[in-house]
Amino acid sequence: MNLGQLENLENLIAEIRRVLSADDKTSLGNALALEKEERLINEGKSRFDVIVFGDLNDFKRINDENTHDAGDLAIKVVGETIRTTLIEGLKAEAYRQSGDEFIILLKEESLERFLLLTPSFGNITFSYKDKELNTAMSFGCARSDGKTSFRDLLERAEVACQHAKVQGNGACVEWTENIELNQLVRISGSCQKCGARITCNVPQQNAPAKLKSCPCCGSSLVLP
Amino acid sequence: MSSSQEDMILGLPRRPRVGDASAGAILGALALGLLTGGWGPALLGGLAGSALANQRQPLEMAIRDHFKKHYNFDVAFVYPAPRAVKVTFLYRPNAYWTVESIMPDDLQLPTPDDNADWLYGNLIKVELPRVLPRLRRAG
Repeated sequence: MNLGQLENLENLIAEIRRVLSADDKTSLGNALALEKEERLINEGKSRFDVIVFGDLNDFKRINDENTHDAGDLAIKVVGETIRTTLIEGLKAEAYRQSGDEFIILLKEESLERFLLLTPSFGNITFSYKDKELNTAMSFGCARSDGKTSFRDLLERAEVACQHAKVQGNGACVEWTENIELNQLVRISGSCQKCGARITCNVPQQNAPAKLKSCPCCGSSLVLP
Repeated sequence: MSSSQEDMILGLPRRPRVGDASAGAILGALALGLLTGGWGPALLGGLAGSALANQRQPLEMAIRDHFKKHYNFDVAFVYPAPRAVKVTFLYRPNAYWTVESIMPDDLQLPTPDDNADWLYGNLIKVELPRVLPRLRRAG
């Protein structure tokens, strides 16, 4: 093998490595690429110290009402928004873990700017077969304290994300010990507006003994 | 490479050969992992004159190249199946459409490669031209 062929081989291997760590629906990294960064975080060698978890709100509705092709497109356009807003804007790294779940890694110094940017994820629009569709995300984040493993930090960010969903599209909640104490409780009732059965997650401390209105849409709720 | 009867299947164009692809299309296919498994040695030795140059492009590579070259459409997703292929593409900023090529049940071709050729030909000559007027209206 001559030098030229060796260079070609090196380029080919680099390309294969890149393909292996690329997500198939977005221009972000995949779960395999995230594993590499996870190792660095666990070894204290990563340049990132904030873990953000976000997923699409009402993703099932897009799939159910507009087919899975539209759901795939929602994932793709969200991935594009993450790339332009967070990777290019904040020098973050982002991955699609699975389905509609995204993980973003930030430096602590970028967190404040990130919090200013999250409302732009509250309404992401695209057109599919001449129909205007929209999707949205909410986020939870957790700061590394140097003692907590990546998986535990991710779990914290996921818990915080559930609280962010209660606040609405584009919201971001940072994990604190208080969040762990004020866990979400599931409340079910019937909406007086349409009679539909509604189940909502609300923070335990904020949930009144008899909830009068639906925390999701605000209309009157009849509890069983 | 010249077009001939052997480049047609049931009146539809077969997939172009790898040697007919632009350097950009080959690089794009490599980046997407469409040219893997056995292609490495051919690429190492150079494309010209190799057996690879004479092979048909993988279906997804042929579709992506055609959509880009002829319409400047970026393909977002290709969903292949043994007897069908579905393609979602970007036809104007932030606007997507999907076209499908499906083999009729009574159409039985000798090889999977023939199936892929028919699906490609039907997609670019029948199904895509069918939706183009709607895209122009939508645009």
